[in-house]
Amino acid sequence: MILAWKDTVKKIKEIIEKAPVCYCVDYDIPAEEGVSEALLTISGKTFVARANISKIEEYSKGSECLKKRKDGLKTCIKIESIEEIQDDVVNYEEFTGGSIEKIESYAFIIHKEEAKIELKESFEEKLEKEVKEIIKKAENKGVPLPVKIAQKISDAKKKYGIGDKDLDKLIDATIEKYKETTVDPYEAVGIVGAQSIGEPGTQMTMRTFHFAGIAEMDVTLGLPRLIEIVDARKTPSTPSMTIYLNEKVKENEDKAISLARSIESTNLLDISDIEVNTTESFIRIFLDKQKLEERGLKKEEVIAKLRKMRMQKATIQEEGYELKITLEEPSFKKLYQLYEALKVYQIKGLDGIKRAIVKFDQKAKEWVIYTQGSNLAGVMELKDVDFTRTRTNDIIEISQVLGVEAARMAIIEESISTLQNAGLNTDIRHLMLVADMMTFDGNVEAIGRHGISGKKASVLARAAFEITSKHLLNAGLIGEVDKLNGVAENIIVGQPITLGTGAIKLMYKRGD
Amino acid sequence: MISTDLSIDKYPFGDIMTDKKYSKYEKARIVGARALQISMGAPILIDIPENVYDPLRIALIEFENDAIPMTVKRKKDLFKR
Repeated sequence: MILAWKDTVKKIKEIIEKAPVCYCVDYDIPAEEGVSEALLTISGKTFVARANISKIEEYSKGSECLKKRKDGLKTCIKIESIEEIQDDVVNYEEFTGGSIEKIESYAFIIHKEEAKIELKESFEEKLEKEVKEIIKKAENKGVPLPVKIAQKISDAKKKYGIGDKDLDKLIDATIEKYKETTVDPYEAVGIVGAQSIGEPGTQMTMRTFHFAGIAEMDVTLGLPRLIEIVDARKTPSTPSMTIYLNEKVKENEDKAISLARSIESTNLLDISDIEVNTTESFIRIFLDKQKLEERGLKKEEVIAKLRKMRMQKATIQEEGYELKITLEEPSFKKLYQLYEALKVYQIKGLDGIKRAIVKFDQKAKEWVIYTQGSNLAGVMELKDVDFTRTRTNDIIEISQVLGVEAARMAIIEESISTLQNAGLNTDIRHLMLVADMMTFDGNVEAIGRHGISGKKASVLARAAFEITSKHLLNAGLIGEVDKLNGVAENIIVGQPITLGTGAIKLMYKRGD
Repeated sequence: MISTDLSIDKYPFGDIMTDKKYSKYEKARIVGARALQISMGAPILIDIPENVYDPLRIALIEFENDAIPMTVKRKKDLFKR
C-alpha cells in the first residue's frame, strides 16, 4: 500500500531540500501499518515525487516539523528520503481516502498489477522423452497411441530393462491389441454403454441399498448414489469433502484438528439453549460450557460475535454463562424475529460444513479431514489446505467452482468408484460417454426428462420420449424442422436407422 | 452439408486401422446387397467353387476377391481425428 497526497510545488521543493524530515499535513490520515512509500502530486493527475516514509502519527502541538500550513494540522509523516519522479495517477488503483481520478487530499493506493500472460507448458512438452519416442514410433506405424498406454510401455521398459529390438516388438503387440479395442464407426456405443451400466446396476440394488461409513460419517453409496450422479441433483443427499493438507502441515495432528474445528460451521443453537421470555420481553441464552470447549470456542468470542450481529437496538448483559438480550423498544413481533435470527446465527466456520473429522491415513502417513457438508470455494481459500488434492462429492458445486471439465472428471470418477465399491467392473469408457453427454453443452445436465432426453434436437425424438401431443403441437406452432438424423425419428418415419449397416450408403464402382 | 469423398484409397476413419479397407458394417452392407442381387439372378462375376450355391457365400467370396462392383459413399472427414 502506498500513501499519496496533494501538495504545492513550493512545499515539495522544501521537503526535497530538507529531507530526511518530519512533515505535517492537514489531512486526517489513519496510521495504517506497512506503509513505507508515499507519492506526492501537485495537479492530482501525475505524481512528481516519491518518498520513503517510516511513520505516520497523529499531530501533537510543539513538535518540530516542517508544516504544510500554519494551523489545522492533523497528521505527521516522517519522511526518510525523497526523489523526483514522473508517474501517471492512472497507473494506480485507489484503495481508501480520496478519489483516484483526481486526488484532492490524500489516498491509499496500490500499484495496478499488470496482467502477466505466461504460456503454460503444453502437455506434449511435459511428457518424458521415452514416452514421446514411443508415441512417435507408433505414429510411424500409423496408429496414434494414447499417452497413458505409451506411459505404461515406457514404465515397463524401465522396470524390465527392455532393449530397443524388443521394444519395437512390444509396440507392435500393443498396437495390435489397441486396434482390437477400437470401435467401428456407426457402432451403437450409447446402447452398449446403457446396457453395460444397467446390468451391473440391477445387481447393486439387492446388495448395497444402505449406507457405509467412513470414520463415523454417513456417505450414500451404491445405486442411490449412482442415480444421484446421473440425475445431476443440485445437492447430493450426503455432501462430503475430503480435505488434504499442505506438505508442511500434513503430519501435524494439532494443526489438522484446529483446522477441522475452524471450518465446522457452528450455529448459536449448537452451543446454547435459547429461551424467550415474552412477559418481560427478553431473550436468554444459556451457553453450554462443554459444547463450547468441544468446538474450541470461548465465551468472549461468542459475545463479540453477537455484538457484531445486525439486530434491532438491544443490549446484551452477561451473567456468567448466561446472556440476556433486551430490546430497547419492547415488541412481541421483533422479539420473535430476533429469536429466529439468533437460532441460525453462525458463530464460526464455513457455510454448509456440518461436521469435520480428522483421521490419520496410514498409507500416506498424513492427517486428512473428512467433512459432512461441502463448501469447496471456502475450503480452497484456506491457507493450510492442499486444494489440488482436496475433493468434494458435490458435482454441481465442482462445475460452479472449477468448471465443466472438472465436473466431467468428477462424474467419471464418482461413478466408477461407486461401481467399484460394489465390486462391479464396468469399463470406464461407458461412464466417460455418460459424462460427456451430461456436460457437452457447458452445463451439467441430468439424463432424463429435464436434461438431455428432454432437449433433443429432433421433435419426433422428443415426442417419442414424453408428452407426445405437447411437443408435436408446439413444433407445429413454431414450424420446427426435423432433419431425421437420430434413431427414434427414423424408426417413426420407417427408414433404416443411422447406425450400423443402416448408416452406410452404397454406390457402384465406376468402370475403368 | 454432406460432401462426399469418392476416393477410398486411403482409409478415412481417422489415421487408425490402416490395414482394413472397410468397417464391419460396410462389409456387411456391401455383401448383403450383393447377395440380394445374386439371389435374384444376377450374373456371378468370378469363378466360384461348384459346391457353393448359397448367394451369401458367393457374395462373400466375391468380396474377398474384391470383385463386387460396389463401394461405399462416406461423409467426408466424418471420422478424421
